[in-house]
Amino acid sequence: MTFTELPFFVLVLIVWMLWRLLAGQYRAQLAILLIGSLVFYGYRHPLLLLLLLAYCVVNWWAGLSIAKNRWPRLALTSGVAFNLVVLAYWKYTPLVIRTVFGDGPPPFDIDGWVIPFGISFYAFTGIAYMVDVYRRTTTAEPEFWRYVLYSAFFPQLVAGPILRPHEFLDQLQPAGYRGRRKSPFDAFFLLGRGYFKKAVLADRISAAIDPFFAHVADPTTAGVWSLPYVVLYALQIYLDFSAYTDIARGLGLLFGFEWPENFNLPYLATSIQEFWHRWHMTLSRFLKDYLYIPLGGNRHGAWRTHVNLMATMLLGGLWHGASWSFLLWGGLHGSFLILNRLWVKTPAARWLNAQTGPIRVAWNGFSLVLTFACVCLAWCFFRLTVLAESLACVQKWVIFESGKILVGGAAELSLWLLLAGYACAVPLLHRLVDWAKSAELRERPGLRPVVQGVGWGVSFALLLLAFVLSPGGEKAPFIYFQF
Amino acid sequence: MDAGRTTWRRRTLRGLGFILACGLLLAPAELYLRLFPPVDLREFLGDESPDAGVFAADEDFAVGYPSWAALRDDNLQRLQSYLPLEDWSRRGPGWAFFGNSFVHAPDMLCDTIRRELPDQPVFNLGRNEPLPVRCAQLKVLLENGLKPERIFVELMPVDLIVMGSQPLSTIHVTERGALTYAPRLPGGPLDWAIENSRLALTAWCRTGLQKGRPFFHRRSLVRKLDPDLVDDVVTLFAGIARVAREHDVPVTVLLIPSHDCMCRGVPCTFQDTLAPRFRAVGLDVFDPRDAFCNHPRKGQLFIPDLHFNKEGNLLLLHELQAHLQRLKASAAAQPTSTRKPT
Repeated sequence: MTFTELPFFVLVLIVWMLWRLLAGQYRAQLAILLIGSLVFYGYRHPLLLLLLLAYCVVNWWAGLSIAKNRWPRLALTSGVAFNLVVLAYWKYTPLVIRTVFGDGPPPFDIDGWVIPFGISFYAFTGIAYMVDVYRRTTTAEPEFWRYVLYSAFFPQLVAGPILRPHEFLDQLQPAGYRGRRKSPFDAFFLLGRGYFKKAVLADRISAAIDPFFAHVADPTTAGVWSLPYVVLYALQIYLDFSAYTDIARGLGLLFGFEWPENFNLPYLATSIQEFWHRWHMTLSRFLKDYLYIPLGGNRHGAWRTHVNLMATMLLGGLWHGASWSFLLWGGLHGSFLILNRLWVKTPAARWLNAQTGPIRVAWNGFSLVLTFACVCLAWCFFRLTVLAESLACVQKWVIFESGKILVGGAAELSLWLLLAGYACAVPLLHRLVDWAKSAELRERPGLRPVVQGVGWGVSFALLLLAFVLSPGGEKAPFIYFQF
Repeated sequence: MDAGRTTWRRRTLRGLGFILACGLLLAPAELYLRLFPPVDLREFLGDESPDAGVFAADEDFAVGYPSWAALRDDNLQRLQSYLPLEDWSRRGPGWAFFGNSFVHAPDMLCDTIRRELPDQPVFNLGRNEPLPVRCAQLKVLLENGLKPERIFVELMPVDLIVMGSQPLSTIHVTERGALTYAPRLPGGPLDWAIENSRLALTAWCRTGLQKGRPFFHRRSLVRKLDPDLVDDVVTLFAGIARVAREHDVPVTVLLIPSHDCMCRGVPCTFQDTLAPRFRAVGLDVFDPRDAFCNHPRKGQLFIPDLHFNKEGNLLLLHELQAHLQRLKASAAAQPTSTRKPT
């Protein structure tokens, strides 16, 4: 089930109404959420529930064993190994088969291989839980059904945000559980913004650029400048994924749970390092906590730090999928991060960063453009998983015909106007939301209902526009659902 | 009392804020939709549609061509080999086909006839068109020199999918020649909003209820045809019969059985419903379902996309020839004075 199909809306409505009806009954409310989550996951492929439950059983049992000091190291190792081996089996078998057998016939049909959706996210959730229990930063969850809800709660089951165990488990405990909506205004604003970004912006971009990427190495796109398409893809993946996160967080708030933000205007970053502090923040945090720091982080000198950085980014790339291009994507980001670390230590960088006034503004602008260009370059390998196509796309950045600078879907004025309109409206909307919640407004009781009304109106209008302005026809799935 | 008044005032202010925000966001959206109407909305915009086309309104088929030149230019590539039409008609007793890909796609019925009966002149335009447009093409071609021995109009359930949801009465040809449909309106005050606001019209179209027959499902084409849809189809075919009679050309309707009908046990309701109605308006009907359904290897008469393979097309051609032989025999048996084109 995805967030954009009718059965999902029906499921949410039913779960939410039952959850409201059972207000004050802790166990019953959580049971409803758990049943809703299992229906969500098993809706199309009920057998997948067995896989999800197997993960939950192993992780919950490992957590308890660690907490009870019954061979904690063995329990942790076997638990993590189980998560990784099963994840690797599902995600990397096709890659291994293709690599081993090359052009020859594979021993079984790998074209129809389907990766269980959300497997990466609940495997990561499980690993984080066991490691944190081992590190004593989280207490082991004694109740199995509560652990299953922590792993499988439907808003965040498929594509995160990837939570630290205590961020959700604490809210599920009787002491931390509110059992009522948390900030309905924020919930509806996030839902409105999320659906608008997905249905109106990301899906419109998708319709405009998909034909180009489908034929990027064909003669049909010969001479076409690929940069506008890559820029649009960069916007699409940001809007699509951040829309998913908005909807997940909005649904979380609707059921009383508050989760961290996953994106913070990543394309405004002025360095790759800053980009990773703004992009998919919960994954960055996960990779840092459970991979980069255990590898040694930056504690063993510059050379080891660079090796650790590269290893982390390569594994982060490979996590996205069974393709060498994802590895290349991770490798590019690892290289950019290392270059960035080397650069900031140079006298020139120190001098530029110490400037103020116009020089600093110009330098920041240049850094922003350069960072965005590096990110876009890496996106070529992320979007096109066949290496020859990725290289053809990069080649078309620099070799193109002057008459084909802006053609096809990238030349749609209506699309650029829509994106520009959204870019202008976003800061205003955010200011309005901040103002609606500010202390200043509390001191002006006459104005407060108007601002609250405006806030609700904005959310309602965004939801309405998401429905009205979305392209007709079949809805495209969220990009990150495939990971 | 004061508390009640304060609550009322607070609610009013909140409502005003709500309306203000909606207005501020929906007004630019309305403007945007006026400037850039989405592709799937344009066919419901009537004369405001930015789409252009080659059509004109027509009394017989709801849509037609304003001139012979309009049809010729729109189909020039395929038509080229038949021009001038008078010359093609003089080559011998030709067969003119109007239908879907089962007739005109490469290696399908028309190509099979060309291969198997090289002396038989065959005319077909080679492009899938909505059924009313197909009828309009037939009319314009007959009026401008096409004179075949017989016209074959092929019809399958798949040809009625568009008409199933858009009745003939909803077809509207714009001043720019585009084929559009008048949206169905819900009635009441919403009509005004839909007629005057692009936003409301788009929202209405997104529900799918704007279609003339919003609850039409293609499954009904093989289970139980909507009587209104049947009337629309018969209207079109009665028009074909009239136009053909005016030019003294007989017409045969080809009701080709589908894969579902032959191999999946789906009833042939489509043929059973339409064949008698077509005969009633004076058309000959060719229904080869028995030959296909009783074929010992009926599952092997198809290519993967469920069109006929070579064997399937040969069977269709042989059945068609047998049908024409029977027609000739029965025509010969009739007294000369009662013969008329069928």
